[in-house]
Amino acid sequence: MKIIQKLIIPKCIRAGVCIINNPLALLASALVDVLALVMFGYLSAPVYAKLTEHIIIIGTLVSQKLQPARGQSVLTALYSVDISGFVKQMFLLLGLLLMIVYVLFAISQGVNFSIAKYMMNRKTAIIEEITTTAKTAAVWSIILAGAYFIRTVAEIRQVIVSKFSEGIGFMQVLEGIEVLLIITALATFAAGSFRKGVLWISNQKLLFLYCIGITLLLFGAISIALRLLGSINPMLVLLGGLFLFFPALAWLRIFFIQITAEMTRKAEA
Amino acid sequence: MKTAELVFVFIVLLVILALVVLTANIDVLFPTPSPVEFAKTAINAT
Repeated sequence: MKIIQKLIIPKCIRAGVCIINNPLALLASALVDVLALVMFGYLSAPVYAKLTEHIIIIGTLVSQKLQPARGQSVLTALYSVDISGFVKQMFLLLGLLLMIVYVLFAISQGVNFSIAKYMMNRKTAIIEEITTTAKTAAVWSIILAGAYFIRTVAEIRQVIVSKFSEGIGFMQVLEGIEVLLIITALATFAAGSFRKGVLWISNQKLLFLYCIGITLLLFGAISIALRLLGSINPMLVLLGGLFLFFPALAWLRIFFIQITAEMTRKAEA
Repeated sequence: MKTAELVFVFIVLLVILALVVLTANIDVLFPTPSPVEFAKTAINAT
């Protein structure tokens, strides 16, 4: 309980004060997030459309190849001359999608972490922050791409399994792991590098668990609030999302920067 | 602004421009047969 009274509550309050004292910076931070989301939608829509086309074409061609009379395996069918070109293109499209996510994430989060440090009256340079975020994001993009791949395989498996039995909760476990990975990623971005973040988590396991609890509580509360607003008027969900979700993100960034900085300072002392 | 920072900003802008150009010309870079063409091939194959 000491850790909550002496560390977590004061940091929560301080992060809130930083946000209240800097409304313009908060607006800028929200705008950067919104702009990144809009850019992602604009850039990823044609890639998703093309990916869908490729999946339909590959699916149709493979099913033709797998007709009993021809007796081929899926892998042989995928490597055949008329399909392999589409498979290669599909992987290139996935690479392009990953590149779009990486670039937009590195830039938007770099700028936003810089804004968060500005709100905390810390010296900050946007370009330096973007390069730091880009380095950490490079590691996380590999981990999260792996998680996305496992999820896709699990989803395909679930479609097949659900024809025979009830769900086993595997997808819920995967979703939970993904949420944990995202919170861990946030801690590493706030700590300044992947290595520092992992060190902080391994040294402060209990504190990190509290941070996970706070994050889940915050977004759980926002989700309930949005559902309540949605039951009154669907348009209120959009407004509520803008006024609750983005400030919450900004608050969480400041909170994580403060918590990780405190512990790093103690470790150095 | 230092030269290194200017170069960095220039590279970032170039990468974004490249992504915009790539996604705008996605039909040229990743060609797929038109639905009619594809249906014809599928009918011929069966």
